[in-house]
Amino acid sequence: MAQARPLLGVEDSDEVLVERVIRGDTQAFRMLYGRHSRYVAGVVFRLMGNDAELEDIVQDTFVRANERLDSLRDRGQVRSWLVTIAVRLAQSKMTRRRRRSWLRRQIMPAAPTVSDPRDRAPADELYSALDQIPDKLRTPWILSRVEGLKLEEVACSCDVSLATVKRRIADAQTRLDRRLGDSA
Amino acid sequence: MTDRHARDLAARPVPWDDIRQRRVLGRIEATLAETRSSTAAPTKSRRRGPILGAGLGLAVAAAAAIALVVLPSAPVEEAIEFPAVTESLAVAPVPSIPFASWPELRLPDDSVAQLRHGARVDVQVHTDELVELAQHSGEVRYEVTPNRTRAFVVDAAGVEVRVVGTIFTVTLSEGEPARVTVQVERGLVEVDNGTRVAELGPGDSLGLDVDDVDDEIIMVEPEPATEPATATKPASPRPAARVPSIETLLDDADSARAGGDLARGAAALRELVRHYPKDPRAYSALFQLGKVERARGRHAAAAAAFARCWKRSPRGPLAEDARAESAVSWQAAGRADRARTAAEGYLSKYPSGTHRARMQPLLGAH
Repeated sequence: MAQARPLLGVEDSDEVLVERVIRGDTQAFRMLYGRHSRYVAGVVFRLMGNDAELEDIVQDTFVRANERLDSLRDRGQVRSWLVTIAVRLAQSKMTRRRRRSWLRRQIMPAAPTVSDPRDRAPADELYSALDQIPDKLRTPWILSRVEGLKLEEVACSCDVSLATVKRRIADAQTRLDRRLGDSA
Repeated sequence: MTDRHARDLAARPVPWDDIRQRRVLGRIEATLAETRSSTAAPTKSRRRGPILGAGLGLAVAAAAAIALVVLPSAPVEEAIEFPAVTESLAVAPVPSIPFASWPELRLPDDSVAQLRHGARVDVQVHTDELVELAQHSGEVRYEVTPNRTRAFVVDAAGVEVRVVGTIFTVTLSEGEPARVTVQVERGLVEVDNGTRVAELGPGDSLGLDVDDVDDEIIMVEPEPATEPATATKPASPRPAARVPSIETLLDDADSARAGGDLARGAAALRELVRHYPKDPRAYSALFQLGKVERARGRHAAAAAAFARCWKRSPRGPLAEDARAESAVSWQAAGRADRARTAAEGYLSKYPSGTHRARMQPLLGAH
């Protein structure tokens, strides 16, 4: 009996692409990037709340992934792994952003700002509230409630236990409800 | 309460398109190439990368930290530089100029639009400062006479191609989604989909899925197939069937903004400008569009809208403000070169203008 051959046009699985990348196949890396970069960018964009550092984080995510791909055990889980890298990079950026923002408030006089309240979308309100809770609560809440990741995935991405991630999401939820409820 | 916010956030479009994807891939590959080629010595990098040697990193960490906390945030966008051609993003071969005698649209400045397969083109604006063509369908090869004092713009389903003097082809393919392809034979063009701006040089090609790239881009309603147009004078496109009235679009824009739906507000304004370019209200709609895009953080799109506003009526009541806002928006978009040019243009036109102080810092922008 003739052996079944793969259909023409069937794309390589993530596992195959990862193997090829590890062997130095740059074309496979581009395919992997093409397959997952948009998703990673979406996660980062929603975590950060704007796209100011979006490209930097996506860039660093894939550079780092390329360097450490051989450490990935379950090669079919490359998307989750990329998200984990991206989340850590985003958290690092957020921490730096908070410090920068704090320092700017200390050294610069408050500049008058003009904004049209009609230009504010609900998502902006949410980010205003999210900006007031710690990153360690903000990140799991967004990954769970906005990105729709499973709790196990969120725990893995945040590098904490399942119990901790549940507690943090609940804590974030309480604080957000309070803040958004107040502003409603 | 938070459920609604979370849903709203999840539904927010991610500003990630072909242009951005290509740009970041180029940077990644450049970083990886540098990493591979340099084992010890630090090399120049396009930006601060994560691959710096640990020793060097420690040495500069303190200085970098100080710079990071003191300096204001980096611009939202950076000037786009296309990476070297890669296999996966191979530049399509530029077709040779066919001998077939396609109909031609010759403009007064001797620029020529060669109307190829199923092409339909209207001249929207033709002044000493601006030539703007609307390409509704098909393939058109443009040979633009160099002229630095006037802008030459082709608008294909919301994707703007801006040039100074060059030869390039724009193909607007119908389908789901529609696709705009720009191929450059000579010179430089700037492709702007309202979200991002890309520069293409000789031999470069760029394809943009219209629906994918920007859900606000409104396709012109297809009209019955006819012979390729051979327009010889400016023609105003008639609003196609089922296009909302201008009042409806204005109401829609206002209510969307009032409701905080900036994307819908911008879409309504774009549609208004597209379908009613001659209506006086399109002028202020362009200014409003600039404000909305700025509020959305889409500074390049805001700059383009402000620029279209003042170019549409260079002596109009909003011209001075629009010129200034365009310059400021280019700066916010990370396009210091364009910001400087726009600021110079403003100061030349309004040496004692009300925005003079805002323009001065842009002159030294790099």
